[in-house]
Amino acid sequence: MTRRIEVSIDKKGQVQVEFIGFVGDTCFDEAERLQAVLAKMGLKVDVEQVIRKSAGQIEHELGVEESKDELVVRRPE
Amino acid sequence: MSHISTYRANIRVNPVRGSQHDTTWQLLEEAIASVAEEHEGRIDEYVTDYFGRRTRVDFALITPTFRNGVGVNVDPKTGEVRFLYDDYGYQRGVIDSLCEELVQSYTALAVSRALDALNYSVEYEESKQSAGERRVVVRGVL
Repeated sequence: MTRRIEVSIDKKGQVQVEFIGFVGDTCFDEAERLQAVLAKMGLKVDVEQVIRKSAGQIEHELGVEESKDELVVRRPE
Repeated sequence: MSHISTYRANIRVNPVRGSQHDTTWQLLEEAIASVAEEHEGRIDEYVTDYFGRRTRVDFALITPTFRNGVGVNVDPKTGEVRFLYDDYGYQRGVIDSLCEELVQSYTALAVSRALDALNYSVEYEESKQSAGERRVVVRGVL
């Protein structure tokens, strides 16, 4: 499964980061890793907002249904 | 669960200018060079005020639209990047725009390098918004 991070940077120094194709809470782990490396690169980033994607969006990205407690992989019929 | 985060970015380079291999200072110089190139300008070590007096800075961005130059100084205690300039006789918007582009370029370079360090394949895209504002998108694919 391809994982993608898309970062948009505007002129006011606001940075929007979209995590695409990450399973479970791995996107939050990856966000922490990215923040740590950015700090080494001289960029301190303060979180302003976090929006969790809807189940529909995640299903579209992963091709799976993610429930609250478990990840259900949809198998082809 | 994937998500979308919004951050406010602040540049904090190494307070003391180290070797030529200091990543943060390299990125800062690259960011200034990038903006200079885009505006057909150059990098210098001095900015000039209205009376022609010169002040030495860590980097100066000199462009045809602002010949006094935007000085870029790094606070030797905190590493905070500060801009120094004399805007008398110039449109403030031109100078604000140059400063914003410097921050944007540094941020984009840092994000690109960070994604590369995390083994992502990196793509870089610049576009102009309807209001003429530059928007940069960096994509990492793993």
